[in-house]
Amino acid sequence: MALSYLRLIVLVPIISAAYPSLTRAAELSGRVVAIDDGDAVSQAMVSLTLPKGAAGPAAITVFTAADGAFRLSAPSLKNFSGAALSVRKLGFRQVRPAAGTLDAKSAKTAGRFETRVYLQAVANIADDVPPSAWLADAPAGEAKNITVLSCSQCHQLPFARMREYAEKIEAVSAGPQRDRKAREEWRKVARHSAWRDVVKDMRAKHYVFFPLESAIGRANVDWATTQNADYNLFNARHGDIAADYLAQHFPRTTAVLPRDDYDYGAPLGVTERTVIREFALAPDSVVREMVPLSLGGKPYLWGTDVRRNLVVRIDPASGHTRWIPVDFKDTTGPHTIVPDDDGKLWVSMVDNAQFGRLDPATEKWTLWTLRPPGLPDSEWIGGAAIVHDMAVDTRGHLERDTAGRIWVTLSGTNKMGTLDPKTGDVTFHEANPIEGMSPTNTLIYSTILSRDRKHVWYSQLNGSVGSMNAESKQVEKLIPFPEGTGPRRMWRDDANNLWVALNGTGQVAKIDMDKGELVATYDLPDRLAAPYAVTWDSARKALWVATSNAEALYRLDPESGRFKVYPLPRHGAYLRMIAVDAKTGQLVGTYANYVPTGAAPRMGLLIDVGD
Amino acid sequence: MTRRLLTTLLFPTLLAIAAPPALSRPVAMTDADATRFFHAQGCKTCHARDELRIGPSYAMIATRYPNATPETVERLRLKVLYGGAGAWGTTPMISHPDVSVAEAEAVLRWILAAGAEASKK
Ligand code: HEC
Repeated sequence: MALSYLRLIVLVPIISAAYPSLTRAAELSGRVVAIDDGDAVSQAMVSLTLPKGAAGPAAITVFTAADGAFRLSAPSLKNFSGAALSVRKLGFRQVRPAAGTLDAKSAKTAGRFETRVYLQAVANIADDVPPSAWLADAPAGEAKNITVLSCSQCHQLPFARMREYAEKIEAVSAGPQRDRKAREEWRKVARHSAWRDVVKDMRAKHYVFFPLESAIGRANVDWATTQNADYNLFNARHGDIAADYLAQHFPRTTAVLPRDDYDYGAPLGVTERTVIREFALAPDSVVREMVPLSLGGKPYLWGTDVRRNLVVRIDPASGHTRWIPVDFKDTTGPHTIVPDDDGKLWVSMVDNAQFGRLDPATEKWTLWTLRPPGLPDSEWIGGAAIVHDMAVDTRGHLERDTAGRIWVTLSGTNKMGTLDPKTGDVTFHEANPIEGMSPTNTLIYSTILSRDRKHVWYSQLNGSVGSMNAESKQVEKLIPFPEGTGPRRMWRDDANNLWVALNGTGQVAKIDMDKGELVATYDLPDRLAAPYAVTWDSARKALWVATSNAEALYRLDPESGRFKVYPLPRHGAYLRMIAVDAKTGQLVGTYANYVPTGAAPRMGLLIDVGD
Repeated sequence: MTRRLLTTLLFPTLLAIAAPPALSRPVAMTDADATRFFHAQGCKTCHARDELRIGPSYAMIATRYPNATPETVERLRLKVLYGGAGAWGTTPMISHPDVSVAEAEAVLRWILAAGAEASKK
């Protein structure tokens, strides 16, 4: 012990001179204190933004312990010059030093720095709450569920631009001037008309789904086609319901939210060991999914850029991103990415019906076309297969049925597809239709095989959860959900239960696949969180729930039915899915907003849970 | 990427407009430039040359503001940047924080010219 310590003392200076990157990480420790009473602030979120060009993550976030202390290490930095520090805690604002500045003094040991941050309790938490806070008090029910489901698919309900726009609606001043009653009546009509226009606008914006240059993308689609609700993620009726609901209940201003009007709804799960690293991605990318996969013994994160037809590889140590094109003559829109047991990556693509396997070592692709026969050639989304999700096992690895086939959902068509990668054989199978929904409206979404790999389960966002017999391809079981429930991403646990994120109602469902029955539903701490996906964590025996609107990740302990909340460090932190790295226990994800104009962060995520 | 493309595209226009103090005649945006701009900024969701979508067509705008004075151009330019409401109905126009002052002015001049052309048909 003493000897190795001595060796270190001798070696460190030599090594650091030869390899500057191997010098000890700069370390910042400090305390967060409330100025109101001098008390320590625990579980405060401390975010360090690294200087531009620094290696590694763009930002590192840790949380304070019960005594307000935190410790944060930045492996690529020698000191903290050029870095910025912000501390957040719901119900407080940072007063000293100003948020985004860093006032640290050097400790005795080189590379160690210390700081103290002061917070003050506030009455207005409008700038701190997640989007879900804004409709928390609006009346619950089917109309609300339909609104959350329809309007959280591409961006948060409400993201910053939407709040700005809602204020603009309230600022229109063309109505009757002096008669207050008449003006109120006029404003009601004006609101309805404006929100209906918003829905029209969103129908046109559906085409952002496809890559920039896609033949069926935004550049090429004509107005009349955009307004065809059959090609949208919400049908005509749901569009009207959402417009009316927002006209009636969207807050007239979002400048103020009293302190007591929002809380997380469950205890925070973060500890002083929780670390959230955020990696910068190209601002014009739309990276919807991210998974961990090592290559040559080195850990990497892999994501899909649906907008630019690329797969991205992030080296978490350097933060370096490598963008790999899909080897196809046209646009592809890579969407879902899944590793397999052989260290390959499988990628479904929304455009041109492509499905592919990428060898991460050689960067060579094998591609298959999964286009059901009989789809119209030129009917925009209505003519696109939209290869969406593939079945995965309890660890999130690609899973095949007993005959070696891969199962996928085809979101443009309400069909399931199979691929036998050995022979290249593909087959297609109709799922149950939903009344009042076109195939695209039905939005068949995710798929999971039962443990015996003989039954394939699927979810329809505007419909049911069902299962098909993998041999006979007959629909065997249907579990209907009320309109607006929104069964989305699903996952299998170790006991053959199917877990389902209920996007519209803010719940998760547990289905016993052996019995084919819904056995339980759990209400999320924040019912407007818009849970997108669930991920089973075998090691922790916990279910992770990724949310779009709550800027938080939830952890459900299925034994007790209790949740814990892991707040994310950024507004616009729209999560779709979370992957668990089986080796390290770390969580991997990405901010997955579908908004093109820089109104949302573009980042990959690597999280040490801290338990 | 889009942004870079736009800047490259509009570079001659930008130079012309940036030249202070007199508003020297800006280099005109071509139809192709304008189409790319409308696509990149999402203007086409609400506006078209003749077709009535969510907001007024360019022909309607040009008819409403013939012989635009510098004040009119400024007024309209502000709308492109910050959005607006009330001039055409009760649905507000969204803001465009990504658009530069020079881009807004160039595209406005294109709208007034092309819209006037279309309204004559
Ligand atoms: C298919 C994707 C999609 C869906 C679904 C969607 N939006 Fe949007 N929305 C967008 C995009 C893209 C933008 C533009 C964001 C930008 O430019 O930064 C946007 C922007 C907005 C804005 C800001 C104004 C604007 O036009 O930029 C509002 C308000 C809005 N959405 C409301 C809604 C409502 C209400 C719903 C549900 C009825 C909804 N959105 C559903 C894609 C969508």
